[in-house]
Amino acid sequence: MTRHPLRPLVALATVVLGLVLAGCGSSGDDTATATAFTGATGTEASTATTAATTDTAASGNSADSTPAGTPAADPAATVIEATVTGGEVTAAEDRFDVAQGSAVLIRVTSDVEEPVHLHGYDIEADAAPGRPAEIAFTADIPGVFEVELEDSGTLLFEIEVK
Amino acid sequence: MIFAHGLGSRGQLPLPVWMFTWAAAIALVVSFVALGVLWTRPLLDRLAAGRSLAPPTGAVGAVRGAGQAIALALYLLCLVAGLAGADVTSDNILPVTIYVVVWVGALLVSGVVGDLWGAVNPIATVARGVEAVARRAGRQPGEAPTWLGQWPAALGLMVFLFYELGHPSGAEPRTLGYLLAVHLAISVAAAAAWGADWVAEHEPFSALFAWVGAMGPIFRRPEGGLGLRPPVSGLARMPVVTGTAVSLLVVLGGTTYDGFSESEVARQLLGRPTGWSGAVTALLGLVGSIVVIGLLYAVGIWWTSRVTGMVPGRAASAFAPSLAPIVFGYAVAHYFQLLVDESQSFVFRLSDPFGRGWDLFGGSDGLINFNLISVDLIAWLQVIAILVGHIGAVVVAHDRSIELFDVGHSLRSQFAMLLVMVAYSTLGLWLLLNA
Repeated sequence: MTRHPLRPLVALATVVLGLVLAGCGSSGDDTATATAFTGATGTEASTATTAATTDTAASGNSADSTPAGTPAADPAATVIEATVTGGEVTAAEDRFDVAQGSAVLIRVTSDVEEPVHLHGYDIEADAAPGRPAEIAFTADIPGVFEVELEDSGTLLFEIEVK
Repeated sequence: MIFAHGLGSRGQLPLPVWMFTWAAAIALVVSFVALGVLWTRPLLDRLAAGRSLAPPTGAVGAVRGAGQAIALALYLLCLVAGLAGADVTSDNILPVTIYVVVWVGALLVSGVVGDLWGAVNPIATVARGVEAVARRAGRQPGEAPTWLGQWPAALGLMVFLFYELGHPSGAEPRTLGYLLAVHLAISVAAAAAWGADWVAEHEPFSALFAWVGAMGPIFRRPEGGLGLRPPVSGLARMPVVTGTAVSLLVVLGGTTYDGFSESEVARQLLGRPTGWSGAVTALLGLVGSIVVIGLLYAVGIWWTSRVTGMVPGRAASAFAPSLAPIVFGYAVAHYFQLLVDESQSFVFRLSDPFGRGWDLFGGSDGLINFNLISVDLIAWLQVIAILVGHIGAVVVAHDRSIELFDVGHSLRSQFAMLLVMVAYSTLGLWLLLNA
């Protein structure tokens, strides 16, 4: 059975091309992603988001409705905020990056009374006019998690823990 | 996947960029190295004969019978749970069984082991009962029309995908219960009209798992008993009729849309519509994705037809088996984390299938251990799945091509099909990158 004479050359050229492509791909890489996958747990400040300072006194709300989570707000916590007005959601991002293992405080201000639910961690807190829902937890489960208004199913935002 | 309470509570992390680039490069390289060094005489069909693993003794039959009984019991349990159990996704056993144990679990097992579903298929069990009753009543099953082919499977899979991806209550037990009831009614009617064998081969999930199962090393030998063959070789003998290629493309399109709908691009383009406007968006997206996937295949087939002179329809059928590994790769890559997380839910639900507060086996209040498999390992397995799918598809396409064409034509036709496979695999990786 005859083999096409050019085939080994085509194969060799492709191997070289492939290695070059792969090399270019990795060198132009986002270092944050690379570190995450060498197993280092996040301490990167680059993944923290909002700059609002935590109001440690206002953490009383989270105690009544959350079945889990640290009752006192951690001053070093990443704060993620969202506001719901007339069904419209306002949040700094659609998806917030959170370092795995870090303390997080989610604060949702709503003009209607509705529970706020964090999927995966399965933590709920009630939001009411004048009384924002607060969910304080440690982001120890990696993955992408939705935060939504429980009754209406309105998606507020996602958090990406890695 | 619908993020519903009790199903998909955690989404997977995006694939790291470096893994994406390396995997895409490997897919490209493997394809063209394959062109250069793979065998030049058809090999897979010969390998597909395999050798005997277990003779058709009573032991194998007994195990199979037990499997069929368990599968039937689970099926009936799910049907009842859907129609009469609590209508809360996280409390009912039906949604997790359909969307995780069957859709992902059985598909994974099919590709890795073989058509296990075909051995224990509860629908086929019911169909055999129906056929027996029909015969005793004097009604002999006839032949289904040939033009029907596997189009019922294509349609059925399409309906299922709509429920999974777009239906506003597609994860809810009652909705799925009604769907299951309609599916049962159709299967019963088909069994009475065309026999249990027709149902076993054409019921949508059964057809799909048979195609993917052709990848697997373990199979049922025509002369009885179990056989062992090299992985992927079974695809050389995968039966292809009208509607087979389309069915596989539908599933590939569905998984593509599922991945795409979770990407940033989709969020910006489509927003997050809910309810029935969300359903319409999802349906259009699903159809659009199937069209895109189908067009890629059509381009490869058209090129093959042009360089070899083979009629496009025949070429589309000839290369359909090479789609099965791609389907496998996509499905495993996309749904593996869901399987790891929610198979645990399935176990908990066994203790309280109807959501009535029972605790039959002591596990109903269990919590998912999200750290069962590390996210790093999940990322590796996703990439490996895509690459395994890719290599499988390349090997099958290559073998089919040299079976049908002389060396010169084969080479040129393969060029097109390999590019299509690279496109599919790169797209699959891109979807993981943009999760």
